[in-house]
Amino acid sequence: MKYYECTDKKVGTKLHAYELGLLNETEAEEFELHLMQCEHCFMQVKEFLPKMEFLVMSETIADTVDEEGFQEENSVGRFYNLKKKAIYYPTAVLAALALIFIFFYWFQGKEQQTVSKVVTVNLIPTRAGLQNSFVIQGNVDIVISFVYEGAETGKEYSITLSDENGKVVYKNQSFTGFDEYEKGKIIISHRDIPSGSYKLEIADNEDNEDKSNSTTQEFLFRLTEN
Amino acid sequence: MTDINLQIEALFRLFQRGDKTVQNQIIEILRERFMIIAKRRVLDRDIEDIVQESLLVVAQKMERVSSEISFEKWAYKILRNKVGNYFNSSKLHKMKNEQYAVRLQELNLYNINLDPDFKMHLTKCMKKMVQYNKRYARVINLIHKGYKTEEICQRMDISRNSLFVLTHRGRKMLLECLKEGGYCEVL
Repeated sequence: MKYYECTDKKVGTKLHAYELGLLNETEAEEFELHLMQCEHCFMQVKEFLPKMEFLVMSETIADTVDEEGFQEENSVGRFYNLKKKAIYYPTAVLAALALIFIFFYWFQGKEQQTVSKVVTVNLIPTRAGLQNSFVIQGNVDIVISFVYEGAETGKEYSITLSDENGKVVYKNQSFTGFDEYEKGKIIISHRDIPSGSYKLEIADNEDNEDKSNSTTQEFLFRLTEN
Repeated sequence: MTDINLQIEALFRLFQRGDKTVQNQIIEILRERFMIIAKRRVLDRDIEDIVQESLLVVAQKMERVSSEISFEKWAYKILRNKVGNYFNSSKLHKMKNEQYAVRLQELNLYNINLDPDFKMHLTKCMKKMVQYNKRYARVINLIHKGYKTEEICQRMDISRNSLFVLTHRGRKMLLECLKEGGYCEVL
């Protein structure tokens, strides 16, 4: 069969659209006029029009092209569309960064809130029968601050906190947290020391070995939850 | 049939110069084209009549056609007018909008006569197209679902011209596949 060149390739690209019935009236007229003049396109349409129309008629073909699951492609496919990439990717990156910053600042805020929920109680030595008294508001962690006369920085001391029934709620036999002002601090969750009377005992470990010269210091205090 | 492109125009110039022997040749070439074009526009049973009427007008008036206008364009206008009259003067007037749907129904019957092996091979080729040219397969898929050209463009996020180019390339691939099966002579 003789091969012909298309006389107008711009109109010629509408060949298959014509076969599939995709052209509007104006376009169809333009293409039909082209068919009158172009042997190439005319031969193509003459040979394949019924066969190409079969493409849009056949149920088998419909099932074949539907197997791909094009329904989902619409939303997902659009996201990956090259044209859209230029918009979606920077937007997605910016959104991700914004989320990271929001989370970061929120987390920092959370940290600060946690710190603000800690209350410090300063224990001072009292005479026998008297005790420090503190009112605690809400469920907070408690920093118990105390001074142990003669305490040395870095040296190990034994600290015991017991409630009014003698039950030990906190014990650290190697406490080394005294600073140069002989001041030490321990932090305890309020859950561990609810309202009640407590006794904090601080002892020098070296003195414990030599029982004859004990310098154990006691602090009595009472916590009341408001 | 002559081998040159633009053959009708060339033959018509001969006719205008006094060579009346080419008239039958011109009419035969026009008949072939008119049949194909009318096939897209009117029901199968009426094609022959419309083409005959159009060719009659062409034969009667071609002597008076000015040499300044395109003969093919003039002949095509005659066919278009006949197709227009066909709709306006018959009961088909009301079904103009549904015409294509009716035509497709007829094609259903027509396609029963298509070679079953060809149908099978075409289906195989479409399976290949689904793998290698998903966008083309998507167009066919949307046509099957009844979407119009604008809706197809919208759903695929492409322009009208891009759609035409896409289908044109898809067709080339499809014909290559048909050729492998021995079903395609024109390429």
